[in-house]
Amino acid sequence: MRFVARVLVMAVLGVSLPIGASFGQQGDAASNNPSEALKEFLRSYLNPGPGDHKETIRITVVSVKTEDKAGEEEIVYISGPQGLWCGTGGCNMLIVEPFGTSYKVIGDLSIVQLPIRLLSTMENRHPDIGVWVQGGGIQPGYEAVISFDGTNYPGNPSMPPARPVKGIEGKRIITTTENSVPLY
Amino acid sequence: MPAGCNTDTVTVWENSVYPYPLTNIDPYVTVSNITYVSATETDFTVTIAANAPTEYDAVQIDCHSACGLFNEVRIGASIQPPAPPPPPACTTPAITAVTPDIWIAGKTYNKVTITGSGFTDTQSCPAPQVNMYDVNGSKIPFSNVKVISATEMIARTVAPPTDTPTETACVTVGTRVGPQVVSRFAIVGASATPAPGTAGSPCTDPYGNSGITVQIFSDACKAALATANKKQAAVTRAENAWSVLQTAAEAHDIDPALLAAIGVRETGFVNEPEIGKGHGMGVFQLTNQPGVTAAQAYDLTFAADYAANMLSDNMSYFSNKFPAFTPDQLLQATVAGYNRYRARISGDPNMIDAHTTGNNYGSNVMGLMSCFQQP
Repeated sequence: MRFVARVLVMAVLGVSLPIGASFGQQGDAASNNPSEALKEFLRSYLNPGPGDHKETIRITVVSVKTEDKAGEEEIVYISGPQGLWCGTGGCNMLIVEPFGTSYKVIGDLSIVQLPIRLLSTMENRHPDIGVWVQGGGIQPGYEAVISFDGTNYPGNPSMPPARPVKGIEGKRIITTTENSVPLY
Repeated sequence: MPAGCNTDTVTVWENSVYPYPLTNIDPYVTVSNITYVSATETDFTVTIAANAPTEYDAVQIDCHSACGLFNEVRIGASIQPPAPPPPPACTTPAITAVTPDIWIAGKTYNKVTITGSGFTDTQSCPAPQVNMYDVNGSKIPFSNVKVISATEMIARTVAPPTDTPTETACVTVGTRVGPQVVSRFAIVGASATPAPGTAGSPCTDPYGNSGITVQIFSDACKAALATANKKQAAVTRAENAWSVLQTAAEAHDIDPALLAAIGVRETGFVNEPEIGKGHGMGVFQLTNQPGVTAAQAYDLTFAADYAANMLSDNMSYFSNKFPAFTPDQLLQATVAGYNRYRARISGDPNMIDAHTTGNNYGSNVMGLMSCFQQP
């Protein structure tokens, strides 16, 4: 019953659950069963070089529905050791949507802390996403909303057009990296 | 005196001048202890009353011998008012505190209070000479110093120049002074490389005058602190941990000022957890990951060493990846890579800080380094 209830809530919020999806802690909706095609795209996009220790890259993926032609987008939280794939400001978050047989990046955020929330509001047929901003000198942290501008989501949640918000309804979709999987 | 003279009398006549007529005996003068010493010497004690007027007297000495011989001598004497008491010895002034003891370059202070002891401002003990030298031996402009009390002086105008770097200076009292600008030399107790307790520490200026140090923050430091939304106390906290920072920095061949600046930017150099949902821990905001426990992240010695290692690794990484970077660009990228994942930092020098916190992490930390560095 509990699982069914969660599915219903996320269906309302537009969270899709690929087959084999599993939940993380604290209501984490991370499916974390990324397709090989997605992983291949991410490897190509990130293109780690010498000294990047690509074997340390881990990803946490959640699919969310959009009203755009693609019909869905993937929220990808890229984590790894501090100093390599994360900094004091947080880790990298990509938002990609299917494009032909592959994907295209519509959001590349540099400093994202968890949790990540799927909000109930939309801009340009894509859902607003709430990300936590803290560290790098920002104390205490706050939730910032990133909205799709028709082409991209903003790249830096600590700067406009990302905006601090409080009390917006939404669903936590990634709260932990405990269920992350290696990219390589 | 004639030979055989053995009895003397001494009489003092008031207001008598040559040829010493006998007037009346001076009531203010008492003669005692008359002693015949030789034919040419008779000793006696003269006591002058405190209220005796200033005047000339005649001193008559009579000699009576046992065989009946008599002789008389008259000489003049002058009664003068008592000499004034010697002035009291001036106390040696000493400074124990200067308020405020943190100055911003380019700012004019209209009231700097100097606290201590032995401050005077009288004719016999004039006001102490106040001196203000920076660490390089250059005078810091000041004027209008007034003694308020034995324990307090106030300088109404103190104006460290705008181009003053972050450093310490020495405020002293003493009469040993030198030229307006002297060659560079160290002030004992003051330093351009901060050490614990730089403000409010004892110091000695180049001329041997003792005093108290003050801390001067450069204009660049002030601006960087404002950008980081941090206070000067953060710099003081980092200075107080300088030995730890220096050890960690030297172990990884980086500038300790870089470590200090990172700590100021991240937490105001407070050993604290991120408030709320953040994952950073301690001064350097290390995260709980393989190789770092929470206890280690809050251990300043461990955290400083770990952060220094990350920064050193970043520097090697960017040096290899972007060999055309200037030293400043390399430093900026090194710092930016502490805040965001380094693999995605641009080789475009104008974009190094893009997507860091506030889009200014690297440049701001470099500005904060000016709070700690020598010129």
